[in-house]
Amino acid sequence: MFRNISESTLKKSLRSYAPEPSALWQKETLARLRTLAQTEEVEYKSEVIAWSWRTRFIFWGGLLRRAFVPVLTVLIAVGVILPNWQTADLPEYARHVEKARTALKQIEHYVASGEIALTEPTPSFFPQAEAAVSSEESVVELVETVRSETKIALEKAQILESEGETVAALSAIAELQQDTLEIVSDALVRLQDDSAVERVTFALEDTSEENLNLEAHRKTLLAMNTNSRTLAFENQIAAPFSLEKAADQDQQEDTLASAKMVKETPPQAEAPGETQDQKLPENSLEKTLPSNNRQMKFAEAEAILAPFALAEKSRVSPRLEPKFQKLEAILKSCSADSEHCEGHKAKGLAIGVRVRLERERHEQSDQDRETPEQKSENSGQSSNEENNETHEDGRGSQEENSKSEDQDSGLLPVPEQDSNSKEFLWWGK
Amino acid sequence: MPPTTLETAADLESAFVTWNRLLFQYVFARLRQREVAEDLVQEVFFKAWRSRESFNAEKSSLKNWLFAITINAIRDYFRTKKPESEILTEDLASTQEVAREVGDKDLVRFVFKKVKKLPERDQELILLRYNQGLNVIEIADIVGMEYSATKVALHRAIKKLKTLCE
Repeated sequence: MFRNISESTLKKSLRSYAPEPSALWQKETLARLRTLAQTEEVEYKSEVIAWSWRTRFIFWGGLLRRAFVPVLTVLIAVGVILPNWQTADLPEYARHVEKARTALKQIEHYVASGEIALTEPTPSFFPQAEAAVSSEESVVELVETVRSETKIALEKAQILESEGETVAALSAIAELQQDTLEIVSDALVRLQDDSAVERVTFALEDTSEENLNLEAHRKTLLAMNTNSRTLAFENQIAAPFSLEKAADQDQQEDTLASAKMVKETPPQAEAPGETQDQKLPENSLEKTLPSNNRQMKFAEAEAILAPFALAEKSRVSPRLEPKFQKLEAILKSCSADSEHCEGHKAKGLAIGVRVRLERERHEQSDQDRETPEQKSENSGQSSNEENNETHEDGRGSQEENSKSEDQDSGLLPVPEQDSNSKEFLWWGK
Repeated sequence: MPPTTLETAADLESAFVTWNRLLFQYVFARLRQREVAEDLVQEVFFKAWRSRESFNAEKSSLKNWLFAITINAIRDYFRTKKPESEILTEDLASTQEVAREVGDKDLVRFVFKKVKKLPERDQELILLRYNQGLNVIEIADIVGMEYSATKVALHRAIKKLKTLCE
């Protein structure tokens, strides 16, 4: 039919075949495409948004999961390392001393803020009374913390290799104990709960005895060799203490009190530098001859303070006045009808007062020692007449020095009578 | 101005308005059935819209990308359904220009009958080049071949067609 078709004819034939799509199809297809595009565009956008939220969730979830361990590590580091940062370089005993001092500060805060009020006990249905009781419990717990930390500090001090370090540690612990006696006795005055009073008193007693042992040990430590030092240290100091145990001992004491008091002499005070065989004044003994353990406590309280001269007692700082007043009231009302806890409180107060008095005694003697030296320095720059006066002052200072040396050597000062003596009748003098 | 991307509904509409006629002619030349061609072209635009995220404007033009989809759609069509081998008379008769320009409708029918006997790839090349008027570069992009290979394949295809027509 078609023979010898040229290439150009073929191409022209192919190119000429161009059918048009129907207008209806174009219109319908365009409408369908528009609908599809608009619908899917909305779906696409919502899908993109949903994916975005999902992506965010996955991203932050993954980030948190991966960051959990590092963040936790950092938090632990901040919580553990930073609080110990300042005490990290301290010896181990010093850290426990610091912890005990922190607890002491809290006790001081309780006293200073008035949370342990110096008021009579109120009926328990008042919320204030309940709050007071809870504060007293807190004080008891803090006292126990102080005791346990002090014990640990003592244990750590005994394993120190250097003798100088040991002496320093014992000095720090002894100072801590003295502060404990003072501060805790401050709190003791304000306690109302019988159980709290008893427990805190026992803690004070134990601290007092331990402090005496420690001071004695510290003084003899330098003269001892290392082996005997350790042995003596362990024997004298490293006895564990707990308030519960002390409470049990108190019950036993109550049971055997009468029998003991018939046979034994009244308890004696253990002031630093004081001999063991010092006894209570006789009139005090007669007055407070106990028929049971609570009476014995009164006697012990008097005995503890007996070695101190009235002059010293009258010279005490205002800080001691509440203690004195409370102690005076307790001891004046000393009788068989007294509350059980009053005896404990009296003894605890006496311990606290004694510590304060001892401190003031030492401070006074230090001042007396310094005064002649300063005067002699001043006299070296003055005229001959002034030099003569200085000799007189010097003699005076020597007298004072000899007096203070007597005190340092453990000899008791002679009690002096003064106008205030009536206020201190309860001292037994 | 023809669209270069297919991101919005407006782009899709614009693309359809611009290239629906061209795609339809190519599909019709291959299938020789108007309704099937219309359906297939419509499906091409649907597919293009759904897979618009895979379109890379830097790699290819939108026109070439649509042609590539069309070729694949035709291949799928032939794979699933046996095509009609005869060109419908009314389709050719409706093309008045053909008769006027070539002078003989029978010649056109004859030529397309011979094209139908060529291998599928040769049909694609000949129709894209001489029916749609695309250049070799565009054809190479659409069928996924090298330029020179496309040129050689096209030359051989037209020789085959000439041989068939003799």
